[in-house]
Parts: sequence; structure tokens; C-alpha cells
Amino acid sequence: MAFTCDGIAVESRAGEPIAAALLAAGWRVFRTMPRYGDPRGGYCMVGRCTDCLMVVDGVPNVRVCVTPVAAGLDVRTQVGLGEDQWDPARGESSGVA
Amino acid sequence: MSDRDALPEVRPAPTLVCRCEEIPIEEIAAALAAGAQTVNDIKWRTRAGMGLCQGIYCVPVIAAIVAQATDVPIGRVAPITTRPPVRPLPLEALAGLELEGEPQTGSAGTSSNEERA
Amino acid sequence: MMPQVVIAGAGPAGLAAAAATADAGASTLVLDEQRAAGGRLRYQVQPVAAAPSVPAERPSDLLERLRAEAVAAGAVVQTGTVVSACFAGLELLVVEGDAASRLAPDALIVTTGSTDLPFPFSGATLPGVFSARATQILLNEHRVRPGRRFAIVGSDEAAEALTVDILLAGGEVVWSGVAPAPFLRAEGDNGVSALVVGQDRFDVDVVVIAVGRQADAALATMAGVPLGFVAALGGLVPLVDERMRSSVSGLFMAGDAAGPGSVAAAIAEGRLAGVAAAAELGLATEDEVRQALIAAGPEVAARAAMRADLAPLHQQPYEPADAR
Repeated sequence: MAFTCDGIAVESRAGEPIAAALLAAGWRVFRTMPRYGDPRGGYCMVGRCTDCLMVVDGVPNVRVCVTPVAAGLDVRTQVGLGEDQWDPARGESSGVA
Repeated sequence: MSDRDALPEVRPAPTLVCRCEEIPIEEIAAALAAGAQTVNDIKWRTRAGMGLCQGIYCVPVIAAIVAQATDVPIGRVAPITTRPPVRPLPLEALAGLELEGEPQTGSAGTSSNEERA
Repeated sequence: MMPQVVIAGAGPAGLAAAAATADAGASTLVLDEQRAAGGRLRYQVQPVAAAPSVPAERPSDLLERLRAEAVAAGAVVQTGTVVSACFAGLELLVVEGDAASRLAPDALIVTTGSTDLPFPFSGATLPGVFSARATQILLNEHRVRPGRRFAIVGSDEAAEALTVDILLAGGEVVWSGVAPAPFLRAEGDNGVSALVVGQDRFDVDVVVIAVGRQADAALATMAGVPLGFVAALGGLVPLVDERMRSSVSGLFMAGDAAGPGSVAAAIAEGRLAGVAAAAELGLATEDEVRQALIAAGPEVAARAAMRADLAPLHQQPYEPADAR
């Protein structure tokens, strides 16, 4: 199953979280933080911290460590809280996946 | 002159006590200097503990700092007050919730991701 | 139909509790926020003993057996669902995706497990720095190795178990140990490339923070269960009596949520909490509770002794906007 991250194709296994596929493919930076701009790449893997929030199909703040892959997903590195990357036509930026 | 002296100067990244809200240890120290006495005080002044993880990845550390700063044993430092919900809640969820009357059976018995004998 | 017993968390303690309450005849619903049940049994691979006197087995086998027992007894196990709040009178707010509902069981057994203790140091937020549990989830559950050269900060049994997991996954443990936070620095631009420990520098691409676990008792704390500090149980733990009962009527706790411990202790406490809850519903006898207490074993007894000794440090009254 393939999806894209920042436009680049990423192979994944059915049922695994997006974060697992990204890490397997060698991705390191999932987002940069709003205050200091520091890069994050996952920390807890159980959906409890803020490190893995990414923009998925135009919706920011998706916890990719607990969100399963799907064919054709458009995943983007999130900048800050992702307000500039939010596509209102795709869904609410609810702050949680 | 040893090899160590030849090492390039490295600017260490700030130590973030609260990863979620990006609160460095210096701000915790400043809060204490400004009169914070409890972990809750520090939370209110710095936002540490208010992020997505609701303090699980910072409160034990802040409690240890408070214990030392206020000369109280760690076992007597109260944690932050936690409030429901346990996890962030999408607004759509509350929109569909019936608040009056008896609680419904909820999703038990109707969900597709449950198993029973 | 409204379940008589709701169990928050489908790890070893929750599944054991479910089998006990369902066996006693209580309608039982077990909820877990993750997509699959099992708690730590989902991502630990080294053999684990279900009880002190039995041989160790594969965690996946044990999970399958615990789940089958709960389901065969009549419990319903539902994943992807969070018990998000517990209000007065055991009124629960339950959330599945973006659908919320209310449940009002007669008993709530909180078996929400534990979470990693934090250990901040310079650079600890860089990509490539993971908690111990995260590393096990990646290696063992998702079968992903997030790098090749690992450093482990921490020295307890968890760090040792992790070393084996990493080696089994084809990784290399370059450094493993403890150091005060000011002596540690993770370096790298967009991800960790080195860990500095004092005057030494290690080329690594993963740093694991494995400094222990703490009870994840937030749900119980919000419901008004008092907390006390027990260093040997990871810090703040909820106060429950020897039969896993809290001071909040109908609320029981067991397993890591009552203080991190072994899988065997979680199973024994889960069973004990289940029998005790069933007894409160009139579905089990005092004798059965006593038998469960005796069968619980020395680790559970030691944990109970540690909790019995301490005075509550912190208790939240839950103040609803309008009292029911």
C-alpha cells in the first residue's frame, strides 16, 4: 500500500500506523514546533505526546502514531499548529486525530 | 593542549521540561524565583502541564524541582489538578451527546470493533 | 443493555478482571483506547509468567488466552474507545472516534496501565529519541527498526529487556547506562546523530529513555480517588485497599494503574478486583473474595502493604457544575 509524504511515495503495510511506515522508510522529522521551531519525530507511539502531529489529507494535528495508513493518503510535515496547511474543505482541525 | 580543547563549541539545545508546550527548564526556575510554590503554581505561570499529554511527561520532573526548591520531600509534593476529559475530545463528539435523561447504552452492542462469545 | 461492570483498559489486568466479573454473572464491557486489546502484551516479546508458579510463555499466547477467557465468560471487549471521564455516581463519558455516549455501570474497574517516566535533557526532543515503550512498540508490534545504533538511558530491568529486543531486531546497543541529566546531550540537526555522556561521545541514531514507569491513574484521580507517593511503585499511586477497592464507591483499580509491577501481579490484581466488584454486586461471596486474596500471591501482598502504609497526598473532589 502506498501513500505520499511531502509528495514522496512511501510504501507501507496494511494496518500499520502512518508513523511506523514513515520511520521504516527513514523519515525523521514529522513536524516543527510552534514556539521554537524545533523538529520532532515521534516519542511515545501511543498517541499521548505532541511529537507526531502531521497534516493528513489537509487536516492538521493528526496523531500519525495511532492513525492507520490508507492508500493514497497525502501526508505532510506539519509546521507549527498547521493553521496554514489546513484545507477547510477536508475537515475540522480538531486538535486530535 | 589536549584533543578536547580542539572540540568545536557546541550550543546545546535547551532542555525542555514540558515537551508539549516547549517550556525550557529556565522558565521553571524563573517561575520558582517569582514565587511559585507548587506544581500547580508552575503550571499556571508557564503552561507546563497544559499540553496534549496533560503533564504525564513533565509533572514528575517539575515535582522533583519543586521538592528541591521548597525543601519538601518529593513524597509530599502534590501533582497538578487534572480535569476531564482524559483525552482531547473532538467537538463533534459532544454535539451528538444527549445530556438530559438517563444515560444511553452507548456504543456497546452496536460497534463493529467489539468481540463477544 | 447497560453493562453492570465497565472495565477501562484491556491489558492483562483488565482482561483478567473481565473474566472474573463475567464468570460471576455480571454483564461486562471492557474498553480500550488502542485499536487492539492487550496493553503491554501487544508489544512485549520476551517470555512472561502469568503467575509466580507457572513457566513463562510468549506474551502473544498469554494475551490470546486472557482474551478468550474473558470473551468465553461473556465479556464484551471493545477497542478504539476511551473512557474519557468519570463523574459522580460512576457516570462515564465514553468516546469512540468522534461519537460520545454515557454509561452508568454499577462498578468501574480502572486498569489503564502505566506510562513512561520522563527524563528531560538537552536534545531529548530530537527525532530519534523515543521512550522505552515506544521503542518496544516500534520494534515488536510494528516490526520497524527506527535506526541502527541505539543508546539506552536507564538501568532497570526495562533497559535490559530492551537491549535484548534491540539485538533481536538487528540493532546495536552502543551505550547503555545512567547519567545525571546535565551530563547528557543528544546532538543532531534534524535527528539525533550522537549522544554525549560527560566527556564521551557516541555515534547513535536512536536514543531510548528507559527510566521506569508511573501509574496512569488520571481517570481515577479525576473521579476523586486519592493518590499517595510510593517510590517503589513509580511515584504517585492511587489508594486502593487490599481488595483493590478505592474510596469512590464502586470504583476498583488493578495492575499497573495501581502501581507498575509485573504481568503476573496485574493478572492477579485484575482477578481480585473482578471478584471483589462482583461481590459488591451480590454476585460473588466473601469466601470467593478471600480465596482470590490468598491466590493473589506475594507480589500483590507486598504492593498492598506499600499502599496501606501511606497517607493520601492528593485528592481531587470532582465538582460538577450541577449536582445530580
